[in-house]
Amino acid sequence: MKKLVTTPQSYDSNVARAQTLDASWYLDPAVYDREMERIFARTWQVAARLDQLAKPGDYLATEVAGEPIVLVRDQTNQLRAYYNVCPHRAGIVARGSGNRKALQCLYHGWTFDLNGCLLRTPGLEGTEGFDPAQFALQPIRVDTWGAYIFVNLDSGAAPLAQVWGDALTATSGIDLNQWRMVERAEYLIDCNWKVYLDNYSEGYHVPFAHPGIAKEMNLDDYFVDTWRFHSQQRVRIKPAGKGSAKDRRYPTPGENDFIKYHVMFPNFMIDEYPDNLSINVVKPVSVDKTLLSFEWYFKDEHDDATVTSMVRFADDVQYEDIEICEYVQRGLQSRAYNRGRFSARHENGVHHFQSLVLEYLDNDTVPLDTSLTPREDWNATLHTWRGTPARNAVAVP
Amino acid sequence: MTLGTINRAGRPDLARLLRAIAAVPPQDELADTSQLVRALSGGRPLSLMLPELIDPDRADAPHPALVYLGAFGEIDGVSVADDSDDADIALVLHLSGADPTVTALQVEAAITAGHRTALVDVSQGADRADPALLPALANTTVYIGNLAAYDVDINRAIAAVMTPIRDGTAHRRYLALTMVYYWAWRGIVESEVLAAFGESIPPHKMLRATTQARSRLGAELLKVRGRGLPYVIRTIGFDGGRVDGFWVDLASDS
Repeated sequence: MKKLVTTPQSYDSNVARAQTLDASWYLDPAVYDREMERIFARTWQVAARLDQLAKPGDYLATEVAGEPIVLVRDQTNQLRAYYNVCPHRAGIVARGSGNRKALQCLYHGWTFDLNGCLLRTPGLEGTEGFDPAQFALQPIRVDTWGAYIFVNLDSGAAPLAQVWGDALTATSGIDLNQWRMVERAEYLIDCNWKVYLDNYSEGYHVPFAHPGIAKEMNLDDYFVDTWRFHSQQRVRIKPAGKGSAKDRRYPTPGENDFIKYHVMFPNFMIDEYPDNLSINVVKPVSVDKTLLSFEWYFKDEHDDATVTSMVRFADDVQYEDIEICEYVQRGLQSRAYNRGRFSARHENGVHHFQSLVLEYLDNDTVPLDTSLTPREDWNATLHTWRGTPARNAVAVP
Repeated sequence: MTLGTINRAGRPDLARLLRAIAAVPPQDELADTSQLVRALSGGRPLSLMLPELIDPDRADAPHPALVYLGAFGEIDGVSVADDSDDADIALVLHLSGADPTVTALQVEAAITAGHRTALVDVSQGADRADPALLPALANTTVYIGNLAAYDVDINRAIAAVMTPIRDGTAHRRYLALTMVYYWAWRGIVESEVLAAFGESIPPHKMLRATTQARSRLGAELLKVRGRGLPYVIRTIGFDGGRVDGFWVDLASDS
């Protein structure tokens, strides 16, 4: 195994000239710790589903970026989030989930209302100068998108809608409230979280690694558009040829039927198919272990067989990706590998993701840009590369 | 450190654990687990208490756990105590049709009352656990590693409770093995593997099958990591290429 030396990363902002991240950035626990602090503690993270906190008094204890937090719906129906840390001696005020009028520390019984204010402190006689107002639970920013509750440990962070919520809704047209969740599964993968995101951010590997789904795609028409904090892969669905319809999931696509994959930095993804979509959240567990959760949605009523068959179809792709990611994690440990180069045509999404990783790690402030125009004009770029005149752009839904 | 394996017959091998603990030739030769247990416990009988039911609507009915135990027949060396002060152990039975949340709260109440507590899940038959039971337990304050037993087989649970394996690493090994096999594998993941490959896995799909089982089981194990069972999957396999030949090798992650 190679010696691990993590150095500051030089990184070209032009994908055509850039090298990939150094392998040590996927292996070094110190880099992982820094990512937790600089990325996951400063970006919007999924903490729960809205239906887990449906009624006033509902609470849920969970973890974000290694921090214990508790979500509550207060008596006025307002969602709130706090660090799950008692200000007395750092016990926890909630475990699991349920419905309560107050939160009580499991250590010494200090009790807080659902607004985080300290209500009761048993046995505090004799303590001088104690001001309960100074001992409230520490609040955390909370926001929602679709069926999900997000939190951000950075108290100065811009609202979720400004960071990517509005852009996602506008560029994808997805209104998650119109979809119904039908299935959920989690997977533990032996790789660094960035290996999964790198892999997810490009379609370059599809013809080699995903023979099943490759049959559905017109791979010449596979492009990745990038915005400030998200990217979108879109590929037109290919009509089935003579005699091959039985092997196909979407044999007779409409003219505007695309498969799209959305990456919302750093770890929230959406797979969008004509009849279903899945939400895919990556949670780093350690430098070389990653938990992946999938939730499948259908817009219309479907029978169980259709749902099962779609989940199996997606699962096949998923396990193919898991195998690849675990191979790559082992390859990154090899003394034979350090850095690679990108395909400028196919891997601009990976470059976009890795650029954001470095930007967050290196900068105390990461400016917003709410433009809805993709950064790459693929029609012009391709014709520049090929030395041919650009056609009129074709609108993509 | 290798924690231990589920044997090739597909079940946590308690007898093997007990032989390792006893480590003396005459007991090592005892083939039957119950014989080994009696030898290890010096013939001392076990006194069980059945925690009060939380559901007030059923307070007048005979205790369903007692009904179950009665139907099951007398268990050698075990008696049911009338007074909780006389009991060695609180036994919570998760019966067919029971609400996992209610069972979990029973376990929590028994532990909070200071009882050594064993949980036996007989809701799905003798060879699998209720997939909803461990998440329900994880929603309480119960430290799962402190359970005296977590099993789907009452004889084996009682054997575990009665023997010296109740202390230390061997006991956590027993809890982890029953949990990963009956809850995570039999309760959740096995049906997914069967749906994908059928009962027999072709050689060229073996890598895919092990990847599927390992990643799904690993995610389930993660849910109880902070509750006293900090284990990870080291390797898994399918003997003879068959799904019912599943075996797993766990390792401590603490």
